[in-house]
Parts: sequence; C-alpha cells; structure tokens
Amino acid sequence: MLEIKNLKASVDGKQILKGIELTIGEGEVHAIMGPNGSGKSTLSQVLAGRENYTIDEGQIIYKGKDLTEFSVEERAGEGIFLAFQYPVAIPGVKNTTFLKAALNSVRKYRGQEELDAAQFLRLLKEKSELVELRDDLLKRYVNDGFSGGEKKRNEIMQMAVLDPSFAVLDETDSGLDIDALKIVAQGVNQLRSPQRSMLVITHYQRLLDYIVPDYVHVLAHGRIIKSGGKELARELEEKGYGWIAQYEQNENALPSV
Amino acid sequence: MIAHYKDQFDQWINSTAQNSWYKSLRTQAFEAFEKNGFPTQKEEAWKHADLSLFRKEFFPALASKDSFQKNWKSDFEKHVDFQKIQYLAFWGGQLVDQSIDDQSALMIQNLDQLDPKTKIEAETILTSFAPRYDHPFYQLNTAFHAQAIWIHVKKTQSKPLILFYLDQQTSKVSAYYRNLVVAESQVSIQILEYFPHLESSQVAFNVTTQVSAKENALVEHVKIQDQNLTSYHQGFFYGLAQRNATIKSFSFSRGAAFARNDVDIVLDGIQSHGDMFGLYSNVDHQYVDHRTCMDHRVAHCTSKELYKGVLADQSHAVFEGRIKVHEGAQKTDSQQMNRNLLLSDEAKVDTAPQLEIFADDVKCAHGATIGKLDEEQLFYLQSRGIDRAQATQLLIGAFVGEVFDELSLSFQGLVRGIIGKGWEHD
Repeated sequence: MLEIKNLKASVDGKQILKGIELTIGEGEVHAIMGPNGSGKSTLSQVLAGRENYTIDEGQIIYKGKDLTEFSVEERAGEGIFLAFQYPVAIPGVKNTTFLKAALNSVRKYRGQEELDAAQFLRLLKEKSELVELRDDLLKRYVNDGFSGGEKKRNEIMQMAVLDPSFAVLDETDSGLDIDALKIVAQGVNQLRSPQRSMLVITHYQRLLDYIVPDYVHVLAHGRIIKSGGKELARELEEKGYGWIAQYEQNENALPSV
Repeated sequence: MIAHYKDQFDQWINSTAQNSWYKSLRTQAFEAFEKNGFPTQKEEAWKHADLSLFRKEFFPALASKDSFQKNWKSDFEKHVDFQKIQYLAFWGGQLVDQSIDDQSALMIQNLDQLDPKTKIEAETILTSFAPRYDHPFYQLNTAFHAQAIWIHVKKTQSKPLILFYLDQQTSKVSAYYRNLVVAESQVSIQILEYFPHLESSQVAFNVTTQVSAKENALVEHVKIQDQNLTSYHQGFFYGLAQRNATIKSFSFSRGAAFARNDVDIVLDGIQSHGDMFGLYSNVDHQYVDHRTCMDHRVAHCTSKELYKGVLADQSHAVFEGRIKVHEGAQKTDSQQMNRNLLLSDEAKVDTAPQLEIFADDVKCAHGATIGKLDEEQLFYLQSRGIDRAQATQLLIGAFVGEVFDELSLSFQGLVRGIIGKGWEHD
C-alpha cells in the first residue's frame, strides 16, 4: 500500500525527517510513537502534501505511484486522508457545505458520479452515527466552537465520508477525555478493513489500548529507531522515552529497521 | 471642462418651469461647484480618489426618455419575481415605469406635483440633512437632477420596493437621480436600489437617496451596485432616524471603474438605531470608495457598522468611517468594523476609522483589519479533496456571508438572488 524509502524532509531549511524507512501493507494498522519534536507531525504533513515542507531525498510510493508528484487535493482523491491533530475552524462555511464539496470533489476525481443533496444527506446521517456526532454540529460552521472531542469526531466522520484507502491519524487522542477517546476509537475500528491501511501517530500508549495496531514504530530524531509488534507500545509506556537519549550520542549506532 | 457644465446648466435652468425656491437651490449648488470644480488629490477628503478623468472629460446630463425599452423586465425575470415586488424604473434622468400595489399606502410622486403642505415637508428634507454641500458630485446632483421622486410610505409594505436604474449609453454621460423617502411612524419598508450590469455602458450614475424614518419606523435600504467596468458611480445615502426608529443601510458594491459612496445616518431621536453594512468586491483596476458617517445627535441611541472588502488584481478600495457623538448624546453605544481580504499582492486598501466624541458616558468601538486568505484553512480544505480555486471561493463566501446574514430573512432571498453566485456560495 505505502512504502516510504529514505525520506528526508525539511522546513525552513531545517531537516526534520532524516531518512524514514517504512512499509505498510494493505489493511494493516501501524502506530508511530515518539517524543515531542521527533518528527511525528512533520511526517503526517508531508504525507498529506503540505507545501511548506521540502522533500530533500527519498520516495513515497503509494499504490505503485510516486505520491510526491500529486497535489494536496489530488492525494485526497487518490485515497489519502489526514485526521488533523488541530483541526482548523472555518467560521462561515457550514460543515455540510464543506463535506458535500469535499465528497463530490473526490468522487469526481475517482470517476464516480457526484451525489445530489438527498443522497448526500442520507450518507451523512449514516456516517455521523458512527461517531455519535449530533445533527446540530453538521449544520454549524466547520469546527467552529467545537469542543476538543467534537473536533476529533468530526475528523473521523470526514474519514468515513471520504472513504480513503490510507488514513493518517495525527495525535487523534490529544485533548480527549476517556469517554470521547472511546467513541473516536470505536469509530476508527469500524472503519478498519482489509482494503484500508492506517498510520496512527501518538505520543501516548493509551490510544493503542483502543485502536490496537499490527505494528509499532518508534520515531526519534527524524528516524525510525525501533519497530515491533503491539507489545512494543506497552514497553515504551513503562520505560518512557528516556532510553532514546543513548541514540543521540552516536547516530551511527542507530539500529537498522 | 467646467464651462461645458455651465453651458448645460444655464440652458436647462432657463428652459424649465420651476419655482423660484427650487431654482435658487440649484443655482447655489452649481455656483459652489463652479467655484471649486473637481478637487485634486491634494485635498484631504480626496487624497485617494483620482478625479482627473472628470476634470478632462465632460459628462453631459441625460434628459430624455428616448430609446427606453418598454420590455426591460424580461432581462431580470430570472432573478426577480415581479409578482412579489413593487418597482420604480429609471431611464434618462426620469421615472419611466412603475408598479405600486396601493398608492394610498405607498405614494410615489414627482416633487413638483405635491400639494403645498407636503411640498414644504419635502423641501425641508431636501435641504435639511444633507451635510455634504462641499462635495462636487453632490453639488452636481442638486443642480442637475431633473426629477425628485417623493416616496411616501404611509403603511407597512410587505413587498419590497425595487428601484431599477437602467441607463445604458456607450458614450460618457451623467444620469442624475434624486429620491426622498418618508416612512411615517410605525411603518416598515424594504427598499432596494439596483444598478445592474449593462454591457459596454459608460454611464456615470449620480444618485442621492434621502430617507426620513419617523417615530418607530423601520427602513431597510439595500444598494446593489453591479455596473460594468467602463461605467462610473457616485452615490449618496442620507438617513434621518427619529425617536425609536431604525434605519438599516446595506451597500453591495462590485461594479464601475470608479465608485464613490457617501453613507450618512443621523440619529436624531432618542433610542433610534442605525446600521451600516457594506461589501465591496473589486477586480482589475477598480476604485471603490466608501465614506460613512454615523451621527449620534441625542442620547440613548445605538449603531452598528460592518464593512467588508475583497480585493483582487490591482484594485483599490478606500473606507473612511466616522462616528460622531454630539455633546449630550450620552449612553451612545456605537460599533464600527472594517475588514479586508486581499487576494493579490498588488491590491490595495486604505482604511481610516474616525471618532469624534463630545460626550463622556458612551461606548464606542472601532477597528480595521487587512489580511490574506488563511493558509491553514486552505490546506485543510484541500486535504479533503477540494481544489484550491474552490477552496478560495468557499473562504471568500464565508468572509462575505457575515454581511448577508445581517439582512432580514425576508429580504435575503431576493438580495442573494440578484447578486448571484459570484460573491458567496451556500
């Protein structure tokens, strides 16, 4: 599904990603954990196509195509979805207006027929139930005045509507209390399928109790320094990130993945 | 150039049968114009406005019904349901067509034909609250308007009144119009002045509309100025609100190569309320200039003002908003805001809020912002598959929507229908 080869990327002349290697198979859920500043969010933004980031080296191969050749909106059409850590509010644009424009844009890109108002509303009702999003939030402006939990549920609902084949969840657990976290995780789990892969980015192991990954990777200083099964997450939780410091001393000592 | 105006003025003032009062009003106005002509940018009030075209070229006044198309309505039926509105149509400086449900509830008359008592009231309005005597275009309007139309609202109107300004001429000419609206106490009315987009027209509209809202009256006034980019616009709106009356003024301006709008509301009775909302959307080399004045004369009045601009290409907008609070106008509550969205690096806006406060127990807030589209918002929309052009349109729609939302619900459909899809999407 997705293959990242020796990816190096910078922002404002500073290299953040220093050679990421990662392969994600169809239907797999991978988690990336790491301390603040390790490059987690940069990786998610680069995958979504944010223009402030420069790719210095390496490749991102998605379904056999070089992803870097696609614009932000084309990537969405190709089936890439980023659930934002901090979804931006857009006062003046109604959630439904936005979602309909988004859905019909990706449908058009995928060569599917655009939905009319009635078809769209039916779909929206079904998907919003998935994350228990209240009707009035659909009619409100995008993320405007939404609580932390409502914003994240709105992200997962968009994911359900746009039906991506590869979703990046960027710190979806941040700012959520345990009840909201459960609802969001439940929504995500219902969207798991053999055709859909996910990359779950998180600082804490907590989220991974609810969204159980197939693989866990540790990101530090712009590289993946350790990979393993879901038990690695628990190990990290117990040890903290302090042990990573040893890799700082000698970059050549980084273990191969 | 002034000599041409003088020739035309002398000819017309002597050819028409007018009473001496009116003659002297016009003559005074013209003499004032003759003295100063069109100001240069050295004058503070005109420092942003380049009037060199008006100094160079003579715009003779239109005064003929010739070539008026009787079937003019067919061009507008797509956006306007004529069953649901009342209208006046103007051409060649004159009222040429009208449809009013009940003249005893909404009286439309030429000022000349008024009975003596009403005439005195009309003449008082004509001269009493138009503070822009030093304004060259206002002087020309007073000197040259062929008719003053008396719009007397005696009962509440459920159907809006639309004023269509239809002049379409391929040479540079001036079309002068003057309207006096009097809303009797307790009544309400919605008035829309519409300057449609007419291909290759080079008309310079010069229109003054004065509104007097008596006790408890409510007047909602909308101007849609959508002229083509080879035409010109000078507009004056003067409102006078008496005790507990409300005047709401909207200016939607996206047309004309050069447009200057003066909007003044005088709050003259206690607990009266004034609203001024505006939207300008400029492209190409357009120049659009709004000067507003919210004049709090007495205590316990409130006012709100929001003007927003979207500027593309090399366009230039000017906004100068004044709040005046007179001595004794205690407990005034006045807000003013001007926000601008620049879509290109070459677009330009000059914004200047001005407060003149002579009372000590008042609340006055004002502010101005100039910004670009938010890249975070654009990225968010694009990451959901929406291309940059559509994402931009959505954000512009969100920006301007705030002004549309201020219209009464019953007026929104009509106004949005006429303005069309170019300004916002829903």
